[in-house]
Amino acid sequence: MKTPDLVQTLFVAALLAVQLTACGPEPDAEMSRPVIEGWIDSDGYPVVTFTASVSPSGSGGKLSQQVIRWGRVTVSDGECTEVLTGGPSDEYFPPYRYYSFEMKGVPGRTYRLTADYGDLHAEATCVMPVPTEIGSVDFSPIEGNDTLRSASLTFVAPDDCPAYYQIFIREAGKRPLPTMMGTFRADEPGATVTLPLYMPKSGLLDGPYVPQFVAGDQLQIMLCRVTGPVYDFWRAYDSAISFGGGMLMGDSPVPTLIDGGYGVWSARGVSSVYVTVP
Amino acid sequence: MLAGTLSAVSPDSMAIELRGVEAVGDAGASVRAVGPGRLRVSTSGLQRQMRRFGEADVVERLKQEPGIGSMGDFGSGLAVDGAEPSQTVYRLANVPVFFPYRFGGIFSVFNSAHFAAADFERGIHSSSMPSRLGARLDFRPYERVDDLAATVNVGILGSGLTLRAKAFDRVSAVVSGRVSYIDELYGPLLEGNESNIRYRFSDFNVTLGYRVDSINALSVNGFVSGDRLGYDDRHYAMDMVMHWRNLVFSAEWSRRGRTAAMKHRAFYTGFTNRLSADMPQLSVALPAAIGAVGLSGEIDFGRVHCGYELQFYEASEPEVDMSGYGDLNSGPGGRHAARFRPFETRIYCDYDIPLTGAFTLTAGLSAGYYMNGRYRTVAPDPRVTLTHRRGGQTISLHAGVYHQYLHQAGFSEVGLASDFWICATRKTPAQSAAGFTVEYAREVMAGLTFSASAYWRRMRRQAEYDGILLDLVDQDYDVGSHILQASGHNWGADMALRFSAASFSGLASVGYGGTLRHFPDCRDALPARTDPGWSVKVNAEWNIDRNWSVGGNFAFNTGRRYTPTRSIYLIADNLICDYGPRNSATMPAYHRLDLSASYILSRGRFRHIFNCSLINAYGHRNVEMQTFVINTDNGAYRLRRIYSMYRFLPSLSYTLKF
Repeated sequence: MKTPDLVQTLFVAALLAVQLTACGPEPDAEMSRPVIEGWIDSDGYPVVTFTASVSPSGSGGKLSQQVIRWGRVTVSDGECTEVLTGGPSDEYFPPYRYYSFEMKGVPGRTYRLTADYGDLHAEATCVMPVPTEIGSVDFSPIEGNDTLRSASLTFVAPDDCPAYYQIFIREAGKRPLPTMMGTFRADEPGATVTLPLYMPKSGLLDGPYVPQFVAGDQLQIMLCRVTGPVYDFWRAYDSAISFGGGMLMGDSPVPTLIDGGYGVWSARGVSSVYVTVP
Repeated sequence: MLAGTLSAVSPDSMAIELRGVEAVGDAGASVRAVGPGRLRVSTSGLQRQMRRFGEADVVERLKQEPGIGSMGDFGSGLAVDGAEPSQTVYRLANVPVFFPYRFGGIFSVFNSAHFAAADFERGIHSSSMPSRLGARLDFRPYERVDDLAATVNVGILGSGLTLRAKAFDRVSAVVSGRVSYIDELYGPLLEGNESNIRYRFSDFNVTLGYRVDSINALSVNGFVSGDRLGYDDRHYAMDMVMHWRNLVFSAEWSRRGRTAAMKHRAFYTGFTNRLSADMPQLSVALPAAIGAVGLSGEIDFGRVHCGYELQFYEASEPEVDMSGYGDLNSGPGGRHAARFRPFETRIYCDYDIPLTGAFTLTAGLSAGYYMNGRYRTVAPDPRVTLTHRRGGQTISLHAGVYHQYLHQAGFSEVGLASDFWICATRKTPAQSAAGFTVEYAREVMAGLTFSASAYWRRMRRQAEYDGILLDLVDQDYDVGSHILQASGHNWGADMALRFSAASFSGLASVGYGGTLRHFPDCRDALPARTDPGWSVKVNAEWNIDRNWSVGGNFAFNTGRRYTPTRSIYLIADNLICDYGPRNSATMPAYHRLDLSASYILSRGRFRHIFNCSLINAYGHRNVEMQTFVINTDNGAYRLRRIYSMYRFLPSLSYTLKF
């Protein structure tokens, strides 16, 4: 092969490479799937958010358009089935949720959720554990800061360990949100457990995340005992919002507990306290 | 400058036998082929040529060769022919270094000025290839020092000093040190709107030699390096810091007898890393470590080359050291991960068989034994290379089997130091590869060589990790159960034109490589994360006259493989991603042009080199990572891309040599 032929071959091959790979192939688009975030608390009522997933495009899009307003959401406890009512609520984003005041959660019962809208169908089942009482919630001043407080929650692990927990906090006028690093598994019956409390982290809020508590805020602090799979879900969720997608950690997948969709349905044994941050 | 190496001297007669003379010159190409599949990088040749960030860097220069990539600018290891960076072995004076990477390839972990040369084997290996599946890069210290010499390099990212001296005609010493101050001058350039990177490192090399007599010599090599990488991202609650450190020490006895030459050494090599994530009141740290003590040696009897290796490892998976979190999960001091103390040994032998005509056959066998607790395995790895040389034309066909007993896995997509080593166990058995490599080279005209190569390999039990960080908190968490071991193929081909003359050298290449893996959790075959895709590379270095030298590199590569986001959805006010098939999408194509100019001033025995380089001269924004986030202004989602730090990045350096 003569030199000009070689150069020509290289040049053509280089052009071919550029043509073939200037734009990487986009992943296949996926149909929307139902997304459920729902719970029923011991001595409380079921609440469900029902949205649809998005197959994302590089140009972005509105998440508020994914809310499903005319779905049929039911919760049954094995004896009766309640159809939840959909209604707007500014506490949620998108501002809509399904609720009912006809069914109260009872520990030990199994709760089954179904959600339907058009071709979308989702269902899940969850057993409600017995709640664990909160021993105390303690706030401490932070040196050099007059307004922020650190906090901790103490409880005694139950006899039927392992016991799984997720802590939620509800600020006045807002929906309850899982606290940052708020999952915990107790393995030792009767042990006194003290967990640090951190404010929930919301992707909807601008500015840096502040994990401490602001003096004067009114909070409902909820120690939710959940099943193992629900604990696994929230821990993966914690990992995803704390580390996922970053340079050092890469992907952080979150499992789904919903058949036919994404998200979590949990029946929670809840012990809660209402506090004003001192 | 010419440096000759007297390979063997007969003490009993006046006859002096020269088995090989190595010529190292400043002019011409810094990289040359020295055998089938083998390149030699002359560090003195690099001094005058293309520099990045003020450093004449062996590893950066090798990335211009076909088949060699680094998975973007954030990854700094060498991914060769679709193999993982951890499947390339880096050795310093024949001792392996576990994590020889700086962040982002800003500098090589090895100080090139400390070494005489580096030998790189891409896909054709003899049986002396250590237990790795990919390439081999050997840094060779100076075996003799003729006079006092020094290299002082002052750059705006870092500076280094290398001193070479001899005493009493028998003792020689080479000492090098480098320190970076990247944050101080480049900090603002590395700061993005949503993330901030801080990085610094330092390293120290020492080589001491003692020539006992004309046959025997002793040498000691030491190397220590430390790196610190900080990363803040406003989308995540925690600030992360990675520390990693390499430590290598070896003592070697070499003997060049009349009928045989041999080297024997004792060594220690170790790597520790610690990934820390912090926010007020809470810190999570993941320390991990691996170390090995061992003996190794090579014995050459003309056509027969033998050797042995014996290594005792100690490796610990990442532990979790938490504070500010519940004390029942992890207990005081956190989860204590399993420690492994495997043992690996092998002997090997190659025989060069002259066949009829222009054919040469090298046949060898590496017989390895590995034991880790109850997991024991024997690996007889045959390797054979048939070479045909006629005129200016060489064609080599290689077939071989390889085993690797160490897996590197972790959370990052590009092989950062947060990845950790785990030793093969019954649950995660040794990786292996078997396949063919063909290489062809022909001198088309004086100084111009055309080369082409192709490879195919069957890969077995390639490790990828699918765990999440918080899983490590659990006392009963088993890292090994989250190692996915995939099997499949690597294949590819490339061709290159290499030109080398006294004042000009250049390399142009085009290549394509592919990978397929069968993961246990997926029915379909998927690409590996190291899938090479297409690459086009052009490298040119021109010594205009005695004073001026200019160079440039252009690299184009298919974008890095990544696992795409298939769906996004909202849970508790945060955006959650559901991922599609593993490694099934590619980032936008990567390309960049680097330019460099040097002015060399010679005054007596002093040489002053002033270098100016510009990285990514046309400012292409190479995408390193991408994910979806919520736009807090309007509650919409958007694609967030993290770009390479290298864009219009200038660098100045001054080097003094004498």
